[in-house]
Amino acid sequence: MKPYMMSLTEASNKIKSGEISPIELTESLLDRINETEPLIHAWVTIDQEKVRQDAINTTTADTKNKLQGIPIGVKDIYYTAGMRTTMGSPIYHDFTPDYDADMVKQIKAQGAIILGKTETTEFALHDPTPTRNPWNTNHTPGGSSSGSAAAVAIGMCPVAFGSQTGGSVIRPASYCGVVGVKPTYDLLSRAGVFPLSWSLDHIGYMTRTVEDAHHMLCALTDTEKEWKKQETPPKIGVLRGYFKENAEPEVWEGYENTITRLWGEGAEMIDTTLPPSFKHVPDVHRVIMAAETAAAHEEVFRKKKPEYGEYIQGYISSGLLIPATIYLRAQRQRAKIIEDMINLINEYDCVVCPSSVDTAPEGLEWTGSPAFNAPWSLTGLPSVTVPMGLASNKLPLGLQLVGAPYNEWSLLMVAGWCEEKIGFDTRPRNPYIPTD
Amino acid sequence: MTMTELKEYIEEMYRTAESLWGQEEAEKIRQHIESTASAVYRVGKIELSTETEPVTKLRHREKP
Repeated sequence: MKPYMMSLTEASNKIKSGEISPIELTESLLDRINETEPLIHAWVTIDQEKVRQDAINTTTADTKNKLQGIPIGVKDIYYTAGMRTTMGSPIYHDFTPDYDADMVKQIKAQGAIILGKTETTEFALHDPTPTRNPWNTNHTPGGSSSGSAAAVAIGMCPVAFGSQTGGSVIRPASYCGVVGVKPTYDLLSRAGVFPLSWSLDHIGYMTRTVEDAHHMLCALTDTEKEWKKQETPPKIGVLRGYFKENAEPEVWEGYENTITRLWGEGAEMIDTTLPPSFKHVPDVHRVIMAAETAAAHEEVFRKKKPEYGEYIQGYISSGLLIPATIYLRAQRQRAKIIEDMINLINEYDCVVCPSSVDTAPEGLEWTGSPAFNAPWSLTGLPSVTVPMGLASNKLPLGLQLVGAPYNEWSLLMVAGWCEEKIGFDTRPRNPYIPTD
Repeated sequence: MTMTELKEYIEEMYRTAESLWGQEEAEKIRQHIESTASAVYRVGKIELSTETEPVTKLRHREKP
């Protein structure tokens, strides 16, 4: 196997044991980028010479760092000192921050190399990027973390940062057939990440395996925790209702097949009913997100409205019209939804639902619906997507696992169990993209 | 909650947009106004106990 397809954990172990050097790994990833970027368009900024120099300067003597010598992609709304950060907007086309976002600081402290900045939809909302889905380049990779999902899927980097306000980590990860993690709200610092909606924004990331997701979480939280999958079959609450009503038939079929398969492997798959408060999720999410986005952008928007994309212009303008009492009413109903969902989830190891309404839509104009992810952004509950197979159009489907607050570790253990039983090969089967 | 009331509310928000930014601009964002106004209207109709306080960042931080 070429180094570019190594998992994060494998690459990390090989660097520590001296079997591979950071520069060998980096060269392999840069070769992969040079080979596939003309098709995928995952990156906004890569300074290849600087990346090489950083890799050469990375020592392998310090074996305590969890990301020593690992090149990582960073969504282009994370501030990176001395490296252009555009937010996917012409307004910030030449903006270079003079400090790092907290999470960028953290991975640097763990020995990582910043590989470059990945494409994001404009201000992490809807106006799309040029990024294409590695499984079929006629389709979107999803958004807003479009470049990060595509880059991880195609082997340009083993891990990349995204962010999620509606469904911007889990949905693109699912569309691109990789693992996506959106931890509990506020578990990871958002400082230095350009805000979209303060009370909904989450740090997240993509990897190709659940073990890597665990490895990355250890690195981001300075935690020493050995990886192990759940050994005994888990007790899982199966969500239908709202999800069944809104899923495309093929997604639902894939989901039901996965439920049956996991049940066959010994998991307790228990039908569970969503609480009545859940029906308000789409409206409550919309009100909070539109009002907060309008507030976050108000000042710049007033001065530079014509430089904003068409979608975000309309979104901000309509958000400016939301009465304060309605915003607060939405936040009050949100409290009720959170309480009800935590009570429900506490009965299980986790609950599951599909990761997206559909497979990656054709074309690049629309990055897909966040309808199956917004409930977990609204409630702040941790969620993980693992690939669960391919639809008849040969595009990936994802299984979304949702846990109780701050239960990321056990959620990943269950995700690891599911990943093993599903046995999905995450390498894109695209005849136009070279493989080993 | 009736469709008529909802339509009236959407029109009310549209007219506010029109008065702020002019007819051309309001028309350009009509779809956003309809989506947001519908959500606002429905959220306004949710019955809530007075004991239900809004979610705040501080409340999140209080969790273990």
